[in-house]
Amino acid sequence: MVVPFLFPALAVYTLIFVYPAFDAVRVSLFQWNGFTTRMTYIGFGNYRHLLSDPTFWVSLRNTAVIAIGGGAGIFGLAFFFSAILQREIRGKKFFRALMFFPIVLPGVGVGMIWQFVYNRSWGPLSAFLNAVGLGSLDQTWLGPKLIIPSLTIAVIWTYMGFYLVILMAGIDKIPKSYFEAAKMDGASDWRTFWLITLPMTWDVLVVAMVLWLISAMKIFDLIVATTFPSPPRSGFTMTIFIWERAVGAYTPVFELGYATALGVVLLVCVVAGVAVLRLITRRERIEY
Amino acid sequence: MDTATQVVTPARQHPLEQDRPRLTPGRLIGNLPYYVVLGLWAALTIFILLWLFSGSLKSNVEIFGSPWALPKNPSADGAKNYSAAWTTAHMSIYFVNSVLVTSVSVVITVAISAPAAYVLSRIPFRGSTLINYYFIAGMGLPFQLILVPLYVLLVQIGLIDTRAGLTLTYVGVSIPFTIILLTGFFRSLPSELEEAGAVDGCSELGIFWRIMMPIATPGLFTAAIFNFVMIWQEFLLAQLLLSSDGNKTLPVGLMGLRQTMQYNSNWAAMFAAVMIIVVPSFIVFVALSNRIMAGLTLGAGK
Repeated sequence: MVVPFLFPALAVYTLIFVYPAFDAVRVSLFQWNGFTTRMTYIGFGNYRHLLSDPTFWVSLRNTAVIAIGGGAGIFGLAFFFSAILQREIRGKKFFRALMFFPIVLPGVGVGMIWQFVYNRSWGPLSAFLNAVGLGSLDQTWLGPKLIIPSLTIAVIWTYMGFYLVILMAGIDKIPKSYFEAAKMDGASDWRTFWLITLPMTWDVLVVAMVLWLISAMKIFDLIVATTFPSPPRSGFTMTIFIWERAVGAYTPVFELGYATALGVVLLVCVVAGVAVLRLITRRERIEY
Repeated sequence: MDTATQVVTPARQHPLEQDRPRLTPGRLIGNLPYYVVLGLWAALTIFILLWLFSGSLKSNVEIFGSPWALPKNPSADGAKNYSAAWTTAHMSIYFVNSVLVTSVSVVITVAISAPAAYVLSRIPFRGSTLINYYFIAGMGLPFQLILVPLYVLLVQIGLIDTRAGLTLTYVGVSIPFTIILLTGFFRSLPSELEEAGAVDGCSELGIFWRIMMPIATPGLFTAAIFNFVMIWQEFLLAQLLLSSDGNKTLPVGLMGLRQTMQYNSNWAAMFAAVMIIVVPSFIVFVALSNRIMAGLTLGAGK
């Protein structure tokens, strides 16, 4: 019964996901515009090309900024809110659900909403600043200068609650007596956090950070919708760049081999990023 | 090991928290700064959603003129905007496509992942670990990697620009996580179950179908919800594979609509269209928030 039970899942997964992934490595060695069946073998040409492509480096940097900056914001806020929700607060479940909610929304919808929010001529953010007399702070939020910080804020809003719920589940597993003992000894909230909460949730935190890193590098729909029709070149991320080369951000380029090589590089970045994160967060396991 | 308990009772509370906190005035004031911070974040989220809703009930003139004002003529303008989005902009077609593609994908994914996960977790055989890793590897693969080969593949098998092709794709990419989730779930069930079944003369198939499946229902349900949320909002693959208007799903349709907006700038209808994509998720979340939170965060609990 092993074979018939495994076969359908193995077959569909292999055909749709694994085979294209391997085929991608082959395609990345060709130059191909997709209009004809003629593909020109150029070896590592696409990879050499990307090393000297300034847009590639900009995209890589922006992806890293969103992953690291967004991650810092997400986990900082998630710990902060989890500490608050630890207390005897009324409506705890409501707040938790409300913070979690944005992750459930379609990314395209969330992106549209943020595009409206950041709209300088009729969006609420600029209107608010002008109304309270801070008009001098009003900016082109999605212009070349601010696009990555603006996107990072939208990303933090969208993903924070998800990681909050993960961390809260980890904190709930810490025996209550630890916190009580700390309180009895007169430890400050801050010390309790550093000496109990953080070390005791470390494993959960590491898994959560790995999950974040993987998903951060893949964020696409939120960015494409927020920056519609297309971000300025200086605001490209890896996912946007790949999309633009392959299918075109509404102005097709059709460099299919190049786009696929970029996809391979993205995969390498994901794997390398996770390996580095694992390495720097390694420590003895605490049993309790 | 915790997985199953989490799936079965997602809203499990710490025993100590079960009695409601007594709210004395002193405690209320002591917690005030925290309520302020929580309130600010909650207000931001609620404001964004309400602002979207109010925008969908305004006329274009109002949207451009006064972003903070309430809609002047909500029922008339609302009806106009929603019918423009729903009928003229074909959101109704996209909606039906989304429901169709999502539900069929979810059912097939769970139906073929459950037996595989069962075999991988409960029946020892050579290569079991290897196959397990083979599925886990799929978790790290970005969709961006497979765009071109997947497109070519679907052209070759004649399913490009069809809802069936998109459904097949969703099943393929959803299998890894579903199997990981269900494997963890099956592993946590006690082994006495199969033994009892075997003693009573149940066949292996009978054990799976009549003993394990009924117990696994909460796990299957969680997997189904997880996949529903993910597939309902998927944009990249749908945009890649679908080109005819009649086949598009909601996210693709919405982006297409946004593109037309460039020319006719009917922003009010755009607000209504965003509402149409947001509201179903909102309803599902309100109805199933505990299950969704348990399901989406399950992978990290291990």
